Amino acid sequence: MSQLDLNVLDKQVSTDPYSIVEFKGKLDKANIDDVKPALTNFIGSYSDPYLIFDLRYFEYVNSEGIGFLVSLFYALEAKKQKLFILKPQPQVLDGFEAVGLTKIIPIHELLEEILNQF
Amino acid sequence: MFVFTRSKTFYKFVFFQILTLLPFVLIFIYQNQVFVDFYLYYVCLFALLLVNLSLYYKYVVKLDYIIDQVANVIAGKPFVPIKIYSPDEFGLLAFFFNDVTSNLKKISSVIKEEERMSEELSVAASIQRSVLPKSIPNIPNFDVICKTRPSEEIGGDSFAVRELNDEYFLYIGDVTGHGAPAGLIMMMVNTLFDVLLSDFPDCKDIAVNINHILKPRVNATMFMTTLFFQYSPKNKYIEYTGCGHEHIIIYRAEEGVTEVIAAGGIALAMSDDISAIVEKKKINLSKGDVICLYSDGITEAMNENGELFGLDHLSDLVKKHAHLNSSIEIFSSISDELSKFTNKTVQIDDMTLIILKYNDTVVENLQDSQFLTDWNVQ
Repeated sequence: MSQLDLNVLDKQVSTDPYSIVEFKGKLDKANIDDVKPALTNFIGSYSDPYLIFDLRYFEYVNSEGIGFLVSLFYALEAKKQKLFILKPQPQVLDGFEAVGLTKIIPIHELLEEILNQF
Repeated sequence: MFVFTRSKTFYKFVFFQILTLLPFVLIFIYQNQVFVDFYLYYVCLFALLLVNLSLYYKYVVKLDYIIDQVANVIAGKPFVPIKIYSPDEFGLLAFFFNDVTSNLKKISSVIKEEERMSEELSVAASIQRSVLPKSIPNIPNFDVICKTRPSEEIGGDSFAVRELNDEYFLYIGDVTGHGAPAGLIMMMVNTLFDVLLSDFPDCKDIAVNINHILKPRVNATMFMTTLFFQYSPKNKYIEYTGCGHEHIIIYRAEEGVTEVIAAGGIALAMSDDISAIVEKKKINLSKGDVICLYSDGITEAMNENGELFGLDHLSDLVKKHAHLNSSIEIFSSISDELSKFTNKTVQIDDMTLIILKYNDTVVENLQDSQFLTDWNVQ
């Protein structure tokens, strides 16, 4: 049974226009139905203009998981908010690149690169 | 099987009553001096009859009623709830019967619903299989075999080969996930490929236009990775447009090596407009080259130890068997190795494998239609 822990990291400054969600574990067929409601609700109620998914501890995502991430990207875009992906592991990045996810969701190695765009 | 035969409870009861009364009658006939008072004798006899009748209605009739309904359930006949509410053994039996039959009705309706859905899935699966090619056109210079195998009744993998104005178009696609939702998208793309090809006879244009129609019509979580190919027999190359699909494996006969080319692009239904993202690219071909296309159900096929078949393994097998004379032989060899690897481990994803062998000379495609589309990898 795959497991995915999601942590919304505390803001360094309370007025920061972004939050960071840290992904730890795997997202695949085994746990996607459990993860979906939590993340969908979080995105639905999220109000800052930017959101960052920190994937440095994210080990695996299957195509359904990628589809879900795409749906979150469009859900945020519909609310004029922007999603960034931070530091995915090579095997996860390979999966993203293969299906073209990197063509629509910006991916960065450093947090500073993202913050410079705000 | 238990065969229930209704006993004649009432007649048995009367028979036992007569047996009970018989000693009294015999005593009266042969030893009437015992019953000096005949009036008392008849009163006792009448009282005894009343007691027995009372017992009969109190127990036997209720038991009959319960047994009738149980017999109906067993025989599959209509039955009614037993309306006995007394706080005794019969009330308990009635409660048990009503409770069990109530659950039985619920289970029965669930089973009927599942049967209905299963029948509908079978029909849908049949419709879906009917859109996959039963035969493919002869492609000059190419010996081709295409097979797909859904992991469930309905699959999300598909392929098609079409000829249009002396050009040949082939696509392979894999929808996110599998099952009915994936199957519906696969059907849409397959239909769009057929319908739009005459208006957009170009591997990039067809990809862009299928995506344009598909994107607003599917759930944001779903997408389809595809590779579109275009081939004109007058050329010694094949053109393709990748839409986020698996790699293209090419065995180069002259060098004796395999190349693994990333499909590139972006999956269909992932973005509104993919015209600036996808590209039309070219692969030069020489005699004996072999192109292998596949869905991730092949490379992610798993054995009993949880190990994946893998791209490197598939690429090595293409190289190992590319010398074989026909695409069918290459396909069968790879398929056999895949079967050995999975060793009957249940696979959770659809599998599609296409082998194209380039011969650089006009060849008649001699494939028997039975070798197309149906693939029962063990």
